[in-house]
Amino acid sequence: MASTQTKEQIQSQDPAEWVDLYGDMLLRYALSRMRDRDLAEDLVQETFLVAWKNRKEFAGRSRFSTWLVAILRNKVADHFRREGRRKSSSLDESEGEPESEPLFSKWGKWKRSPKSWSASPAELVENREFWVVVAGCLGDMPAHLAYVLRLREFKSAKTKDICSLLEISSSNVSVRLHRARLLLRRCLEEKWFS
Amino acid sequence: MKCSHATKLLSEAEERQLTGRERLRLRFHVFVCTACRRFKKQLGLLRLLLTEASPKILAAVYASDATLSASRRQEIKALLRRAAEES
Repeated sequence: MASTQTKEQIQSQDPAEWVDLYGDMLLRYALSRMRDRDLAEDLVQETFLVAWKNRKEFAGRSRFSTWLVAILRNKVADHFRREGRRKSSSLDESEGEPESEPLFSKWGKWKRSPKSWSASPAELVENREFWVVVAGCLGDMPAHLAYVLRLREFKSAKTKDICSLLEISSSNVSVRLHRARLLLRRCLEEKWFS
Repeated sequence: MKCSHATKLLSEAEERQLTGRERLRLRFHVFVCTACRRFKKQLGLLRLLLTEASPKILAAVYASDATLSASRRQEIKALLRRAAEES
């Protein structure tokens, strides 16, 4: 019912009702992008306020929920753009980031050598629990790393497009991707493949 | 070549064409290093899997039971009501 509301219904509705109808759905979407719950709730809140301000722009061609998710998606991208700029100006990323537990010894050898994974890609793809673990691993790594990995691997974005989206250099993108892949690999090995 | 460098090149190979010298040194390192050989294989698997990730993760997360906290729910409603009164 909520998903098929017309433009007129939406525009005459008490916007507080939107929160009950769409709040949880938006929060889940935000949490699929980030682990920080407060931040996710902040972005949901901003989404509703923007939606209210721009309610006349909702043309009713798509579902209202789809329109809300589009606003939220932009909010998420804005957040990571700001975050990414802050990170790249405050850290020399070619040096990598200080880490609680380095993956390599000072001689550049694996501290814990990768184990052999027995996996059938076709089965993994269909296993919902596996994706919950992947989402958890992405949530556990620094958010600006997870975001670059999402853009590159999920959406097959070109490196140069990521550079211009996040306003960072291509070597910066490579470093972030490499760090993200290392962290994801280790996390999956610990939480799934062991 | 160190493992830390080899893994960096393996990852970078997905972003750019490695130089001939890099490829040669990397191939040799991977040939002699079991750990990096596994890493290379796992990188390939991750790449393959992650192209499917977006809808899968979304489906898994939408099926979760996360809900807005009651205090936040009230706060957003109050903000929206105030905005509605002002307009």
